[in-house]
Amino acid sequence: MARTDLGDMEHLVLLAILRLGQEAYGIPILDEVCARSGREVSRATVYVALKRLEQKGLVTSKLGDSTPERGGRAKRYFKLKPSGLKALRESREMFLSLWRDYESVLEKA
Amino acid sequence: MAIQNPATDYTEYGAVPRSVRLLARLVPSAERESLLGDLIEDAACRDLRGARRTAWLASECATVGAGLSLERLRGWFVMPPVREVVAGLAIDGRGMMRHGSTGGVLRAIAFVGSIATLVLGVELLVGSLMSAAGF
Repeated sequence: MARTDLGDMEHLVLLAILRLGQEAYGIPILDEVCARSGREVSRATVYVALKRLEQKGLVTSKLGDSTPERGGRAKRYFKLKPSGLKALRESREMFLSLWRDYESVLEKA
Repeated sequence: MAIQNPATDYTEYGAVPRSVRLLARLVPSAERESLLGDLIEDAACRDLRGARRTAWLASECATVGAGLSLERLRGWFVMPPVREVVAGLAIDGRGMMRHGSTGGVLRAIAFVGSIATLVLGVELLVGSLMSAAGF
């Protein structure tokens, strides 16, 4: 099966969903991405990445219960699909392999 | 988990300003309510009130709506792999050449070329807009 190419933001969002587990919905995902990447990431960027990941079949989402503090609106919880986990593992392997080759080059530079 | 109708179960629905509700129309309906919920929750966390809250909600809603709309637009224009198009044209063209219809081949190439240029132009335009917007 062909490898799924992950964009930079898609990678970060997948990792955030993995880390958050059952609590992975819009706001914590955005906070996690900002905190971990040390960047100021816009909400739109994260939502677009989530949409792409759903279209690629790497994550799935479902609506939770409605809550009064959200004006009665449900949270959309995201969860990694097995294909999402596989994509993350492959991406990690690729980067580790790259770094093994370039570590010495970087040290010399 | 039961999913309730937010429009009827909670009076807080009206807490979303009219301008924000209009902007929310940009967001695909499947994601609209959960996105508005996220925005309302985040606005409360930031302790935003009154005009500042409305302005913040409107700008966030517009940005997310524009991003998702551009993404949807890009999904409509999917470029076929160039290698497959070229291979297909080569196979069909060779067959037509053998039967002596060179004019037909040239017309077909011109037609396909113009369509491909148009699609490529739209793809580049949407891609540039998304890059410029930071997506």
